[in-house]
Amino acid sequence: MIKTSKIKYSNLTKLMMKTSRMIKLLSIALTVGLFLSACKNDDGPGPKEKEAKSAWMYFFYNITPQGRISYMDVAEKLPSKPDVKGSVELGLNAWVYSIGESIYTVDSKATTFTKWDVDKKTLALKASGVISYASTGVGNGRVDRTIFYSKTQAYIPNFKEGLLLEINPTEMKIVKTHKIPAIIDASIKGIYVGKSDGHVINDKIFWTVEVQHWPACCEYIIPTGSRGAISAVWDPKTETFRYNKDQRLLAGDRVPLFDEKGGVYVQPSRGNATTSHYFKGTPSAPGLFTLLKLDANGKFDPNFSFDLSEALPKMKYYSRASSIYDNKIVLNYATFDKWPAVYADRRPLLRNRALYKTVSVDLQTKEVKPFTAFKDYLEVLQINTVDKKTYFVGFGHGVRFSSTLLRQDGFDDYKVIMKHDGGILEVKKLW
Amino acid sequence: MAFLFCYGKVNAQEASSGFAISGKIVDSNGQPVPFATVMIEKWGIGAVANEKGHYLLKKVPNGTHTIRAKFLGFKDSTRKVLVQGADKVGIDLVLQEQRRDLEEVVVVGRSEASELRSSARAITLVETKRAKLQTADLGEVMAKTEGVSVQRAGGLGSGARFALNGLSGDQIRFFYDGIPLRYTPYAFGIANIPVNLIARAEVYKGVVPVRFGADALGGAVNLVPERLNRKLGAALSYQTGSFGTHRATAQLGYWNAKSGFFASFGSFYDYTDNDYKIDAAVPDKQGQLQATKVKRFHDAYKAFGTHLRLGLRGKKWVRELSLEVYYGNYDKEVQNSQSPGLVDYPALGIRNAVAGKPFGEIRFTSYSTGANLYYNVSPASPWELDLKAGYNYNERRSMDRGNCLYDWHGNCVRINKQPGELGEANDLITKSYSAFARQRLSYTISDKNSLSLSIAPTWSLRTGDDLLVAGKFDPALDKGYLLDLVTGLEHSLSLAGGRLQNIAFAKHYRQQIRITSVDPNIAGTREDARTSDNFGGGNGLKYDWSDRLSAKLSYEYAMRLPRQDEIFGDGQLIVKNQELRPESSHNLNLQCRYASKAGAATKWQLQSNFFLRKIDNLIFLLVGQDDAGSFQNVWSATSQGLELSANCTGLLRGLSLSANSTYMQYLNTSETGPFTRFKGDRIPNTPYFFANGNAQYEMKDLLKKDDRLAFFWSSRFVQSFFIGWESAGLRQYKPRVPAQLQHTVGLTHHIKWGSSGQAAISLELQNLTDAKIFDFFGVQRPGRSVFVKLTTQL
Repeated sequence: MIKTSKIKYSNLTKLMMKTSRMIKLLSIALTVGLFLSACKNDDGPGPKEKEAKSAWMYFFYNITPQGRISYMDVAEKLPSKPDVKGSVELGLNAWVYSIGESIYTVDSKATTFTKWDVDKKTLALKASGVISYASTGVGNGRVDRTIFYSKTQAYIPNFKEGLLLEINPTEMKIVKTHKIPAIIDASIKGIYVGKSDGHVINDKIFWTVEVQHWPACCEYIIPTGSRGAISAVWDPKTETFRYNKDQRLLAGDRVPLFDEKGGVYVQPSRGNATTSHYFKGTPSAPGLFTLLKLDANGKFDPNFSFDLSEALPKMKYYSRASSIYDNKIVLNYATFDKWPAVYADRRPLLRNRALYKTVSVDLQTKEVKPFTAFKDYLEVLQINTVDKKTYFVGFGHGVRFSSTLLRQDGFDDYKVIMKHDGGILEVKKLW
Repeated sequence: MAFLFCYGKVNAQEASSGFAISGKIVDSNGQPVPFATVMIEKWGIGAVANEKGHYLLKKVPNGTHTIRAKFLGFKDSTRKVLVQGADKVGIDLVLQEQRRDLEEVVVVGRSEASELRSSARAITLVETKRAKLQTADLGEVMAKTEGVSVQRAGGLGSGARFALNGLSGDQIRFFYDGIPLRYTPYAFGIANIPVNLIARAEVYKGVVPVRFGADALGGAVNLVPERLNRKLGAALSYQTGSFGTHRATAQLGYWNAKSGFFASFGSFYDYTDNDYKIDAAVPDKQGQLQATKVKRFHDAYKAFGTHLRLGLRGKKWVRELSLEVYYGNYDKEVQNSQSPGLVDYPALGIRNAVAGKPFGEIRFTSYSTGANLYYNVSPASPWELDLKAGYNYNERRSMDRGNCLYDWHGNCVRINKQPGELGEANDLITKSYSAFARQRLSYTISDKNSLSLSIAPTWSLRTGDDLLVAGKFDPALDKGYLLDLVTGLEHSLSLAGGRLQNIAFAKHYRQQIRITSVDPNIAGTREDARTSDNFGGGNGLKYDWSDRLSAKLSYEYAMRLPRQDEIFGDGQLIVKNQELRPESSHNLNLQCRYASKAGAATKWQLQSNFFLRKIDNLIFLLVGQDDAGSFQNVWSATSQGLELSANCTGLLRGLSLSANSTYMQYLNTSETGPFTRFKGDRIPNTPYFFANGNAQYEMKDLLKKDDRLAFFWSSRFVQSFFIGWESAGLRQYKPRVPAQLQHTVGLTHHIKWGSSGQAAISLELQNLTDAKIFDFFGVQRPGRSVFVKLTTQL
């Protein structure tokens, strides 16, 4: 330090010039970088004078190298393509719900429940509240879907943990964590309990609960008490809960089917065909492809069962059905000559659209007819009913992962509403 | 410096006879000393060794001669030789390093470093001479390098994502002294390796020498170990500081120049609680989030490693023959997933706070042990054989079977029915048995041409055990056999006195994979196998316009072969795809260097590197609606950018400055597959602009003669980047990793005593401004922290 004080003025000037040159060169690099990385302007919705007459919310995902990232958007009419740029990005682990004019999102990793308000004029979205259920235990393992009973009562079940979380979505607070019977011994590795969608019927909430060991190998190990089709019913008024089980079907799918008259059907789990291979001993197993029906109380109708394999005797694999309409079920099935025992060998077959047949089966006459409306899709799933019209998503069978939102206008009359290179997952009408 | 760049031959007086003497100049480690001067002074015959240390003295007359070899930083070496009736005489000479102080130990290695810098290879050298005295770990040191991005999931011992010009993960290969890093005591990731055991890191950008025998898509990093090059030497370091951190290293070295016997021992021990504070959004009973600062409570890290190498060096019949045995282990607690939830609600006073549940019991442990053989010999003068071979056993265990639900204060608030905090309980052991060889045979055709053939087979058997699976069908028990054989041929050309250098190479990749697994169909085992052959190659060209200005142009068509699990899946939800092709990339670099005049009082250097990576067949796990999927070649990308770096010393006596910045456009170019919609977007979750600045001011002779006191400062800036596609979603709602600017300051006092004793003490303040830093979305890195480090060499 003493030596530096001896620097002469001229040397100092030189030094400053050298330093200046160095700084300039580095500045150029920094400036170039910062300039090129500058943010673009957002093209958000412009101000409008009148309130929108209607508002549709749609929920979709894009595939990134990190996984599926979800988005939501609100529009006055459903667009033919999602407004990818103008949507709200929700992240890797989100799902979306709505009740009334409000939207709610759940992030299963952050264990947060977020409320979104929609501007009536611009339809812009704004987060207006957030709560977390991290300390309740409901977020452990696979988190089931949220079901809204009313504007003040929403529930998130966790059937493996035996918990039912009650949330007041208006006040944005946790009301209570109800204890319910756990569906299964949760410590058994590899047991799959599907993310069940709840439904409100007759002032009660019911779920079709799918319990599988899928893909299983070598021994079907679901405890006997958990085999069979299962429905769960919660009565919010009496705060009572019960499971209903029916052994006529090995395992029911987590997605129920609704016909146009409101009838609720429990379809076979698509894992049944794969797990059946591993039954040990005498096969006292229930039906693999039996269709069941729920009554108004969420119980299985003892007078209804339909074994689809009687109509489709060569069926080896059942892929989730698309619809039941006019007493006819539309489904995908496969008739492989060779049915590999190892899932790794089976899956390439399951992804091969050419090996599938799509048919309608008359539930009274057992008549089977080809169904061609879904020929462009690997799988078509029912997602929601809005204004008495049922909406479906058809997933493509190439590596583009394209999907198509379809509206059912008749038994085999499906209109393409929206297309997306990615997944379309949900559509709701807010008003 | 001018001496180093002097490639011309020493003027030789014509002699009357036609005999020749040739050989190789090596240091005490058996490493070549390029560009050393070799002469017979009596006759005025001389030559300069080439970049591989080979020399050729022509027209040597009959009789006994004294050959002298000399090079900066080494003691002169002389040998008497009798030339009588032979056309050619082979004589190797060993140069012994001159004794240097703590920092200058690294300078000794500059012969190799200078060779690499002045070669046609696309390389950046990361010297560790200063870092050794400071407390930064290797990850932080590497992150200061242009083109390199190191994302850390927490503090010391945490997982790291090392990216080179955008490419990361398996696309970059790591080596320790030319041996794959996984076959060393440091098998647990480059970021946490103690700096004091490393002399320098060689960062090969996109163009990888054939001698590594690697399928590196985007480049490679070779860590050159520190060596004690004296008869008897020792070096110790100990560091302690915030978050219960303790790091220690020890090195011992012995070399008997007469017998050639040497022994080298190194060891390290790391421990940290990593209990630094982070911002968390903690819910009350009603779920209302409260902003609070909490200490991470399950993030401790412990690692230990040791190695012993014994053998002979510098003998006439063998340059090196040594055997190394090693052992390393680590134990890491895991506090959260790599992308936990993050909430940002300014209205609630919550800014970028972690909201997801913490983990309290997940742990990863691992150990690695094995032996390596080193053999280097020149059976006849123009030939050189270099062999490295080894055997390794590596066992990893990931444990996630806890039933507790923890809050951010470390309390178990609930006993869950489902064990496993990440989702489903897991207790998996993975075992790898590997054997490898790296054989390089070189032939020096002339002082301008040389050829090198490299054959690098790697055999490995991978199996394991899922401790939670009862019964026969445990996919972890599958046995996967892998043979990777990378063969390379390289030609080096040096013209115009070394001003023009060219390296051309071709590579062949053969991969044989075989997996045996339980087949429930036949109540026995089944076998899947695949063999693939692929070719690659490239060229590196360097030209020096002068000692001040030089340029390099390099290219490689590189590959990364698919991994076993990418081809054959995991036996469960990831299914096999035997049609999987290697990832491939056209890698191009254009480097320019402009430096101050030799001997100038103020020394400076500017470097630029333009890089281009055109990557195709990138592998991605495509998951379907059924939650199952397979790895497929689905996307392509282009990474191009500019790296600039500058350094300067002598502006003020004792002052040195350096800075660098990297800007890259790593863009999705997929024409097919699920990323097609976002063609032209930046690849998400990847930093694309970052810069570093460093300054050091050193004062000498403050308290006593030869002591030094240095103040240092470093800053790092990383521009914010998005998690998802940049063109998707409204900007104000897009999750992003925020921009970071962090500063580190410190001082080092270095003293000497006696004839050889030296020590240094450093005090360092990291993250001076206590900035909230994220490398991964939702994983906050340590705030302000203090560390002290003692380093000594005897």
